[in-house]
Amino acid sequence: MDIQFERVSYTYQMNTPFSFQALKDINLNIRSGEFVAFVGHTGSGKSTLLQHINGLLTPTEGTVKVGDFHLSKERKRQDLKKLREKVGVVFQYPEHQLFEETVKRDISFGLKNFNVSAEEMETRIMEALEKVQLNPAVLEQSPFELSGGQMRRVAIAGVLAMKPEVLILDEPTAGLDPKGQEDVMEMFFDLHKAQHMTTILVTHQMDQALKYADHIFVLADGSLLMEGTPEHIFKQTDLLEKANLDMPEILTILHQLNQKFGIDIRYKGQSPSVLAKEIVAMLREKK
Amino acid sequence: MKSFMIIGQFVPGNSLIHRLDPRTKLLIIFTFVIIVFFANNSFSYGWLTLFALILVFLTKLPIAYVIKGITPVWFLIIFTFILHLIITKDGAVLIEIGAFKIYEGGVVQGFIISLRFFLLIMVTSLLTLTTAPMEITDAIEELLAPLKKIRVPVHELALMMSISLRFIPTLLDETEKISKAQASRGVDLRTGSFKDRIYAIVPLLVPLFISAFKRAEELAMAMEARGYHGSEGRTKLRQLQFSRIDYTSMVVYLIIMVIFFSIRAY
Amino acid sequence: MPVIEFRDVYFRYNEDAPWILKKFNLTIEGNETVAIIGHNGSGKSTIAKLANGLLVPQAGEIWINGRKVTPSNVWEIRKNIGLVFQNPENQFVGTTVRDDVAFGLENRGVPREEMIKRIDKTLQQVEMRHYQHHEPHNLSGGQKQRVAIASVMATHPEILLLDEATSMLDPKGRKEILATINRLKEDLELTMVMITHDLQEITLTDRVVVMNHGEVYKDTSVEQLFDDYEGIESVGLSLPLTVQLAIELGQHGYHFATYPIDSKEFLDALWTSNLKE
Repeated sequence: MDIQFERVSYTYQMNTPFSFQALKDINLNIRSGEFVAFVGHTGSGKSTLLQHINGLLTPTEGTVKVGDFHLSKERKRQDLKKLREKVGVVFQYPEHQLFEETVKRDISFGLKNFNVSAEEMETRIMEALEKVQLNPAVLEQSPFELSGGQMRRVAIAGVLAMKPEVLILDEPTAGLDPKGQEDVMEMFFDLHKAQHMTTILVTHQMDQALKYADHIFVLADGSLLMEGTPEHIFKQTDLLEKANLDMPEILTILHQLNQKFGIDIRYKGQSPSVLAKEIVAMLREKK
Repeated sequence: MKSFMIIGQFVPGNSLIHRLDPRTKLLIIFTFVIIVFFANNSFSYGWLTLFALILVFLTKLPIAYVIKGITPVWFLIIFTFILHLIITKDGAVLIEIGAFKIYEGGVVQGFIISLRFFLLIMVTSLLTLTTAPMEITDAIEELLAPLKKIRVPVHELALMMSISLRFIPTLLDETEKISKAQASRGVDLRTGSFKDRIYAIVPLLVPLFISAFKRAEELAMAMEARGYHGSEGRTKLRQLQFSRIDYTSMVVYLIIMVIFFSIRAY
Repeated sequence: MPVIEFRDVYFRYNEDAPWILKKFNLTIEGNETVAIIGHNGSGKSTIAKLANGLLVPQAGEIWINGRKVTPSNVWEIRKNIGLVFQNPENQFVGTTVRDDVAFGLENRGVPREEMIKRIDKTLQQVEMRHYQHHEPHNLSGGQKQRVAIASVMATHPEILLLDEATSMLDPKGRKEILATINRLKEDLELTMVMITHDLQEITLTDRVVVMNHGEVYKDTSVEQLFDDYEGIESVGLSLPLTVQLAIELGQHGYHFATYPIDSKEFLDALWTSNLKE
């Protein structure tokens, strides 16, 4: 499903002394099957924007198109449930949405709401469990007896079981330790490749955007500051600084390395061992 | 979600009413609420209405906002009016539709009760519109302080109130987040039968309670770590101070009330 | 005399639960800055709560400033320990920034005039004075956490414990907190313990204690921490990028005297190493 934002603005609490414009005239396109990242400082409008994609918010101006669904102020009351079945959202700290007595019931909660048949449900639950790499033994346990990391995986499984065509990830690694963060991101990336899902990552970790995204959107103060490939985005050091965003660590190191040694190594997603080889080759050549 | 919370939501400002000591406001409003019930004729009602409107004017808040703020209560006001139309059978018959008769006394009575109700709500909402919740808590704690002598835990109650106030925005945010997460999983709170909708609240309430308990536990631990062990030996940063505008306001209020009682007796 | 001492401490939440700390020993001297690291669930977070008596060990002793922590002296001991927790939202007691900083002082019965002075001073230290009348829901996570630090610093503790104080913050908030901590470290005589899973944070410390399954896996200096990088990885911690690069470069004959934990250290070491090549 292609996603399009046409002149979208959103104002919270319109016509009150507390009104606040969170999105300003956003225009953008996300092609089906892409992995895109939205980056921006806290309060830049990232979360508001993503809530438009599954109709949790309706633009106060402009139109959001998700496949055949058109969302705008004029077109009220549509079957949002159909849209939400196709657009899965993993919210920040998704384990906070768990409520059922067993893991199995919690994963099947969404499926029930979307009227998936009983047999289909069984297979979907097992598939989802495999995707998030949880042992089927947890199915009959209470989700609240699990560790924090496992709870998060259960919550994610609940979203994946719906087999969404678009998967929105809102800071999916918040609060995890570095190892846990890496595991979760690798899991989503593998899923993206295997299922050709459109994946939309909202993050403030530039390293993640650089590593996984095909296309990056940078938001600042509710406006789209710039967009493009990671390579393009991270060349715009001035704009990034203006949006109060860091450079990914690897790019900073390479940049300083190139300056200090007068060499030229470009980052193309190499692993540390490949990078080390390139550095060695360059340094030896220099001598 | 948030739009429901407008009833008396504090709007910061610097008007005369904003600057009054919260105790002054509390005393004036508390006595006003009682005095409204003493109004007995159209002049005394008129006088109180005028007073209330001047108060609204003095807050410098947009009138439309104040009126909109009491929207949820309009229903009750109108309901009261209609109720009196139906049950009061006094005076001449004004309109007759089949077996259904509206009496003059019903209209008058309905109007008076609704006006009384309206005045009460409007004036009390002015308190919360112009006073930070914490100031109200302080004022209550100060005004109730004499009750400590008869072992009413005034300090603890005030602290509980201030913590609740502190966490209202947090819990509202949380409610919104969880309901959005569940809506994304296909929960629909707006359609379906009454029974369906009741069931749809469970996935919202359970996570909300779990998180509220967790917050309470962590907060209690943080308070203990910072040395909280009851009111004993505690000092206070917040201090309320009456100033000249408070004394002036109270004298003016007193004069207005004296006039009210003379109109009433007239 | 050590400031914090854990002697053979055992702790678990209830009888059916596994031990969170097992025969745990740790000694921290005055004015030391120590990082305690470990993966989620390694037991590192209970250490802070045990140290100021919020939790009670099943066995073993905890000594603070030469006094054994007991139920009767726990309130006295707490006066010397400032504890900053992980969740910025759930430790903000006051309805405004100022009230929150006042809370700890009010509890200790500090006179009002003194209170006002201390509030101004500590809010200045964490650069939050302009926000003193703000309510918590209008502050960012980093700002709330700075207020939490100010709140404990206003009570003039000798020990500052930071229990994963940055783990719920965005990069900007994290940077703010680290800068604040660094400033406190320079300005004041303070024993500081940072419990964290962020390897970036250890650059601020003198000593690193690595936890694994309730036990001390390693107790070493920051410089020597990654000498055993395989061990560090084996207990579920990930290596900083500069360390990974240094390891790989080592395979090609570029020697590093110590494993570098930031880009400046990395480049300087590589420069020296390159000259020798």
